[in-house]
Parts: sequence; structure tokens; C-alpha cells
Amino acid sequence: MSPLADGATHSRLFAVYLKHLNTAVSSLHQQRTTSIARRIKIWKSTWTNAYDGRFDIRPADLLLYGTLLGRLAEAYSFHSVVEEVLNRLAESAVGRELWIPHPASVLITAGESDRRRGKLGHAESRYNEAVKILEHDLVAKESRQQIHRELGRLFYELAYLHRLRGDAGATRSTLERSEAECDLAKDELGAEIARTVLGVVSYEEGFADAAVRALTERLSRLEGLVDHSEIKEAGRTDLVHRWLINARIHLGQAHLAAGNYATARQLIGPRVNGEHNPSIVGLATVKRIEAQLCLAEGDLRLARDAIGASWEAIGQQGQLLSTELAAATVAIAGVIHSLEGSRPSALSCFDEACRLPPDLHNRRAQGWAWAGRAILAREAGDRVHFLAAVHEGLAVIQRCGAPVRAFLLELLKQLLHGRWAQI
Amino acid sequence: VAEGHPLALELLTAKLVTQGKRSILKLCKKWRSNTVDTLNDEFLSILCDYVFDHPFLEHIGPAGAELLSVIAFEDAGVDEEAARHASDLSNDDFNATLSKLFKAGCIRRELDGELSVLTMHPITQAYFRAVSA
Repeated sequence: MSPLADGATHSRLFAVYLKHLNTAVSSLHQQRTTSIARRIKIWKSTWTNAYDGRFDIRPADLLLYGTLLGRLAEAYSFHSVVEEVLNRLAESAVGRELWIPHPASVLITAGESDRRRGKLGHAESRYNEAVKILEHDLVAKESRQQIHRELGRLFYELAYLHRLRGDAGATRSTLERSEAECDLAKDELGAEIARTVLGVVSYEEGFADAAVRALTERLSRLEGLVDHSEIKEAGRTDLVHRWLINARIHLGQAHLAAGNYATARQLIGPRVNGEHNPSIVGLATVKRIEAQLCLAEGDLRLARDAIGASWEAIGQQGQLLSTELAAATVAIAGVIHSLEGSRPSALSCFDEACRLPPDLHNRRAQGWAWAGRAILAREAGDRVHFLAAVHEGLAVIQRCGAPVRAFLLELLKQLLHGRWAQI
Repeated sequence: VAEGHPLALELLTAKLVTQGKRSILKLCKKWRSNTVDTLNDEFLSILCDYVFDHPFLEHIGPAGAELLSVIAFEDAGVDEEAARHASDLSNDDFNATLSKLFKAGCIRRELDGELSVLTMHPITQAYFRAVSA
């Protein structure tokens, strides 16, 4: 039998599916697509056939279809489909295949997806490939401003990765590079975002006053960008608003770290009271910060309510194991139980915080949880467990968490000097 | 020939229905002695060659052949409504083409909620893939 067809119907079918995909992606937040599991399988099969060259289509459509399919599959948690589509796209991007005009952008998207799935090594390798491509293009191509802009975004993503891993030095250096690239690209918003996160790293590493100064300036600069005509034209106003909220919360945390509780409450208050309808993840974060604030103000009851709400929000979103900074919520719950005199509950929370995946921005909180375990061991007169907890704590915060490191070292010194009672 | 194999039975019956008894009478004499243990890849390939012969292609027409070729390469099947839009045929012509393919026993319809999906038996799918490649 001779070949049945020339592929024209298959090409048109691809175009029909592309329209369906577009509709499904644009209505993601309004409605669930029916029979989504089967549809995604069908759409994926057709994309794979197109990728393998079984029929002719416009190269731009192949890229658009793959990108939309990846986004939709991720939204509906069809991770194997996401992985297969993004792997193929990334492979073609690395091979500099002509149908992918911006290979670095594809690699960044694939890296972000890997990062969200906890595959930090994969994500880093994608980002490094993207850096190679962009640095090569910087010399070979003329659209340098656009390339600097992509590099700015790329180094921000690398910084995010280092932050998850708890590597403060690498986070700082990649953010500084992101800031420089955004400046070269005249991307004011990108540069402000990098500077804002640099401010965050400052307070996380114990430089609270410097962070307050830096984040106050960032907040003011971001407020100035809201009505910027270039921002509006580029459709980035929502991004500015998102970072305004982030900057306010981080400034509040910097004030909290600096001991300015009233200012911290002013900044965090509107979020805590739900005035801006935070997402579930946002709620987990603001409730955790509220608990910290209440603890600092000495209100144990309100602190317990707030941390309970934070923990519950994490439960609604997914689970502790896959939520960034979940160890902070659990460790703070441990501190509250400890202050209430409930040793078993405190110990259970500290244990759970220490067991969570460290590379989900959990290391500093785990350092504090180990410090909590060390103190409980000291109270029980258990020198062996005290030492083990201090050592484990120091190991987990090797590259970040200067304040908790100082605290653990102080505990260790007091033990060595025989001053248990002063701890 | 079809003994013990539902697909073979289905295909041969479909051929009888769509192309008349003469198409079946032409069946090679050597197959008459075949038993279940000879239902191997070679047998199925010869059977498919016999069932999906030139008269079959004439019967389903170029539009049918196009559609078969598309379904053969889609692991998860084809959205029927999308296939209708992609076919460039009028509704009546598309329905007639689809009807011939169903009667010939070479495609199936699976329902998933409101979604109607056109699929193939894995053996016929493998056959059509091989001849379309």
C-alpha cells in the first residue's frame, strides 16, 4: 500500500488544537477545561508528531504550541507532559535550532519549571546554558539591550535558585549581576527587583538597619514606577504592583529584625488584615510574619493563633514538604510551644522543621530549629544531644543565616566555658 | 481466518459488509487451515494487507485515507470535532467518510465526558503507521 496521505489534514488539525490550547490557557483562571486529562494527552501527541517533522507547520507555531502546552500541563499538574515538552524545547534551544528565535528564553522557562519541581540541579544547568548563549549573542548580535534584559532576568532566576539552596554569597553576587544587566538594558523595574532582593538578603544575614535603609529607598522607587509610561506600554504594571507588595512586606520584616515593631506592624498590618486579598501562599507568609511580630511584642496568644493560620494555609496549598520556607512556620510553632512550656510539642515541631527539604529556602529556619533542640537538650541536661544539635545546626547554615550561626556559636562557647545556666 | 481473534473477525466482517462477499471469496486458500497459534505478526500483517487493499482505499476515498493516516499517528486518539474542522469537508461529507471508516472496522469512538475521541486498535494502528511512514 502506498502512503495514505500528504499530511495536510494533520497540519490543519495541529492548527485547530493550537486554537483550543490558546483558549484553555487564557481561561485558566476562570474555568476548568473539561476532560482535561485526555485533551492534554491528545494535544501532546500531536505536538510530538509535529516536533518529529511528521507534517509541515510554521516553526513559530511549533514553539507557541509547546510553550502553551507546557504552561497548561503544569497548571493541571501533568508533570510528565511538562517535562517531555520542555525537555524537547530545551534540547532544540541548546542546539540553536533556527525555529527557536530566543533559545535563552526557552531555557529559562524550562529552568523555572524544573525549579518549581524541586529539580534545582536541572534548573541550574538550563540557566548556565542560557548564560552561555546570551554571552555569545552579546558579542555576535546587535540587539544588545534586549540581550542584557534577558541576562538580567536570567541572573535573577539564578539568584532565586541560590536563595532556595541557602547560599547567601552566591545569591548576592547573582543579584548584583542581575542589577548590572538590567541597568545596561535600561530595565528600571528589573534593576529595582534585584535591589529589593539584595535588601532582603541583608536582613536575612543580620544587617537589619542597612536593609531598612535599602528597602525604604526601593519601596519609594517602585512607587515611582507605577505611573511610568514605559512600564504601562510594556504591560508590566501588574508586576510593579506585585513587587510593591513584596517590598512593603520585606521592609516590615527588616524593621522587625531591627526592633522597630510599631513600624513593622504599620507595614505588615494591611496584609495581615486581608485588605489586599493575599493568595494562600501569601497568607501563609503574612501570618507567619504576624506570629513573629506578636512574639517580639510578647503576645503569645496572638502569636499562636497567627502561626496556626499560617500552618493551615500551607496545608490548603499543598504540603509542608513542597512549600518554600515551610520550616519557618513549623520552627516558630516550636518556639511558641516552648515558651508555653510544652516541651514534647516544641520538640516535635523542631524535629519536623529539621526534616523538611533544606533546599526550599528552609536552612535558616532549620538552623533555629536545631538551636531550639539544643536548648531543650540543655534543659534536660543532655550534653550529647545538645552538642549534636549545635553541630547539625551549624552544618545546615554553612552558607547563610549569620544571625543563627552567631547564636549557635554562642551556645557552643557557653557550653565549653561551663556556663550552662547563662544560655 | 478470523478464528480466535476478535480483531480479525471484525475486520473481515467489515470487509464483507462494505465490499460484498466477492472480496471475502478471494481470500487465499492457504489461510483456511490456519489455527489460533498462527495468529502472529506475519499473519496479521498479511491479513491487514488483504483487508486494507486497493478496493478498500477506493471505498474510503482520499478523505478517509487522510483521516486514517492522522489517527494512526496519534497515540491518544483524535478529537472528533477538531478532526471535523481540520478535514476541510462539509459536515455531511465528513460524516459520510467517518461512517465508512467505522463500518470498515478500522476506527473506534471513545467518549470522555463531552469529548469524542477517534482511536484505532493497536494492531491496525501499527499497520497504518507502517504503510504511511
